[in-house]
Amino acid sequence: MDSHIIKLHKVNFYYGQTQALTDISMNFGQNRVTALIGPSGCGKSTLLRLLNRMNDLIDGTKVEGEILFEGRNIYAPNIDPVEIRRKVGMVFQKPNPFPKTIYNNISYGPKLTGVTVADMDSLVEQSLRQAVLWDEVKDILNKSAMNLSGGQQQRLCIARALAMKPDVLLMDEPTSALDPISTAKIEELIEELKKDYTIIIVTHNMQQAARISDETAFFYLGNLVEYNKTEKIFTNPDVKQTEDYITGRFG
Amino acid sequence: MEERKHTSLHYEMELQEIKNNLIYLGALTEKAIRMAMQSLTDRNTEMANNVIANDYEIDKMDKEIEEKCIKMLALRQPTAIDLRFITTAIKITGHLERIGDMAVNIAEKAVQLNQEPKLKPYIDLPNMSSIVEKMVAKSLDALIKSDLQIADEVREIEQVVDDLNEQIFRELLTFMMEDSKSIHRALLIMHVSKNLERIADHAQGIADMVTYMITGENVRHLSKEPN
Repeated sequence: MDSHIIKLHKVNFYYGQTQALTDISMNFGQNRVTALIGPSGCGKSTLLRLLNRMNDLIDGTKVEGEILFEGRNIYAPNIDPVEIRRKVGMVFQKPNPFPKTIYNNISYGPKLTGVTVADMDSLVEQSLRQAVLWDEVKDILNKSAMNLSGGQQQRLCIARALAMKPDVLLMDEPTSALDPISTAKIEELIEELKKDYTIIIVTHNMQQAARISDETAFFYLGNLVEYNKTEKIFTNPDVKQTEDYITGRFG
Repeated sequence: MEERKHTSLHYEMELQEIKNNLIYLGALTEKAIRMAMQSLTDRNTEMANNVIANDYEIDKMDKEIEEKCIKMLALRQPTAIDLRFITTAIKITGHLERIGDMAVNIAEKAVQLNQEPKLKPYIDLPNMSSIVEKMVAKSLDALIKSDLQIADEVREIEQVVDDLNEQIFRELLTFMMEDSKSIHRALLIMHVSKNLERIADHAQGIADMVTYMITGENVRHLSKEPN
């Protein structure tokens, strides 16, 4: 069986006249953690957002090439982007819980998309357990999510994404607004989630990429410079540009 | 290829400092070997005692380099070439410190040998010693210049030293068989030869680490691997 859940073939992406990604071909392994690294403006977040059609929401953008998710081209005309976003969930840089109760943060998505859930209580519990938040919030499920700490809010956002039963989780700098302990909890969580999900994470923290990812892709000026096993990238990268970046010889 | 500089100049300076310290330590050990051998060939016991007494400087420098490397690992979290350089530096400083100890061993044997009449003129030993000193110098040169070819050359010379050591052993064996009164001195000279041969092993160890630093490929103990 093909173990690549997402495949990109010669992908170009434009914001208006500006080309943000050039000729990207790469595959993402199933149940792997892949880190996307590179300096600001290199295209890594743009690429991440392409994978669940979040860039559709920006006017004047254009995608060329093929992005296959479980064998289907997600930019084909007959594809519903909402369905893609359900299967490819996303967690953002800043925790963004809904101004609702903790319980409703989790139940909102499944309810809204018309998924019939036999037992919402157990879905909420399961999602919160998966995000290692259950023990901290089980007695305050009807309290506002806004009262949680930043780290708890971010885990709630992960639980919210998991409640949609996605196959892939995209994470855009999920710990950059968190303290080291909350960061460690999220990193530990990523290791756990890898068993059931494919995770693609954009991070500016290179040590984080080294700690949690199986594969690392280095982007520069919209090009994929090097894509390799994380251990290889951080001990002996093939491309000089990658080495200059990860050792801090850039700019 | 000319290395680009780090954005952080302090980081750059710290790496350079480790490199400079290694060069200095290398110079100290080369001098220790040369003096130890000269104390033997010139029968200069005072010089031998100086080698023994000055070993603490080598030990001190070794500790200092190791501490700097550990600090860099903790504080800078180096990757790629920087990581390979620092792990290489930790191992090289260990090799150099051991070379210093071996120079002390030679000096100690010289002190004993100088108290007795010469067994024979020293010809092969000084020859072997100059090859060994060159190996140590070359291995450090390979490090400083990041030069694979120089590292390869060090490995090639190593066999010559092994052969010389064998030859010296055989020759001393005949002395011992002919005259049992020569056994004590012959054994001491064998020790000297063996220590030189061990120094050559350490020089090769340094060259192997330099190869690792440049290529990322671990070439240590390759010849011992079963086919």
